[in-house]
Amino acid sequence: MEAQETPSGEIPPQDQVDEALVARIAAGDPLALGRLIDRHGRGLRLFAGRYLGRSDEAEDIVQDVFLSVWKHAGGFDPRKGKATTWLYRIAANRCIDVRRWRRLRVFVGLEGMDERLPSGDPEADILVGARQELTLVRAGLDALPERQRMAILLRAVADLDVPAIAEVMKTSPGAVEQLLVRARRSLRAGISGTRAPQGGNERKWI
Amino acid sequence: MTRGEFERLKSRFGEDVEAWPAPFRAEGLIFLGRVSGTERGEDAMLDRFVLEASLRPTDESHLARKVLSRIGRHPERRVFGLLPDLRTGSPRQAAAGLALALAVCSAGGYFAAGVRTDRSDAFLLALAVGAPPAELADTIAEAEAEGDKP
Repeated sequence: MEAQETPSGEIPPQDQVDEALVARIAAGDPLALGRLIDRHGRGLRLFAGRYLGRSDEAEDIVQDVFLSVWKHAGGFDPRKGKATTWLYRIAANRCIDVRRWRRLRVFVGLEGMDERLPSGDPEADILVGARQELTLVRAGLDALPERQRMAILLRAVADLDVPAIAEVMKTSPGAVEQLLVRARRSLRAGISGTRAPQGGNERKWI
Repeated sequence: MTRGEFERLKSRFGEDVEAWPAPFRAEGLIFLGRVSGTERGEDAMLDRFVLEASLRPTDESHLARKVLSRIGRHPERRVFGLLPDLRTGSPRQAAAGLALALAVCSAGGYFAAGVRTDRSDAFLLALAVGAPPAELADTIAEAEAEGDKP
């Protein structure tokens, strides 16, 4: 569903909005930053939260992303990529840094092994109705290799297309396709392997 | 998503759900029971489950307040202003900062102890090549005789 250029080559309205907001931020307009947060704060928060498995770190990361946008908006060039891609690239880099820090802290003994692993989110389980599929998908996401998890979250949560994901992850579109194929295969295997038969009304979705 | 939440999103982002930013767009389409033209198939269905598995309440106005307050806050002047902030920086920045600090300290120590630098170098070089103790003493004496700094 990622916005694509229309056949006539026009930029979709939502991308125009984001680019205009970044231009206003570059000019020092805090209201434009507030509007950009209103539009993309949720997506970035969900992406970082599910990637890291820890909501406290995700909150800090999203704040850092928008602080970075405020400082560096003048350097954003819409000819090189979309504003949303830029936002998620900053967020992805921050997430990677946080995970490296976490590994380092585990290595030097400042953090326990359990804290290294993405934790489940019981609150979210309750809030979304604790559907069995979602619980399994969440567990499957946590078990994915980091790059696969990042790729599938950028696709599903951030709604980025393959070229945009490649730009965020600094890799090729072909590599992203592979990551998505493997991630989806693992998720399907995890779900179909653990789901108990529920009679004739079992939902076929994979 | 409830009808009320959907209506509030419409007032935030407009009537056209397809033009909403992610992930509101997908959430709105799920609420309406619609799929866009590119969102058919098993992969898209799985992606929707991934999205739903990631959903949780968020408060964008709270986030905006926090960000704007951080922007409004005057940055504190750090003693080691050239070094990256080790609390928030990346491991790479931290490593670079530590390397810089070590280099500065080493250079400072080198120059502070410069009075005996040449003598120490000569002595260490002689020691490294396995010169006997008597020659080591000569090495120091020669270095002093060649006008080493007092």
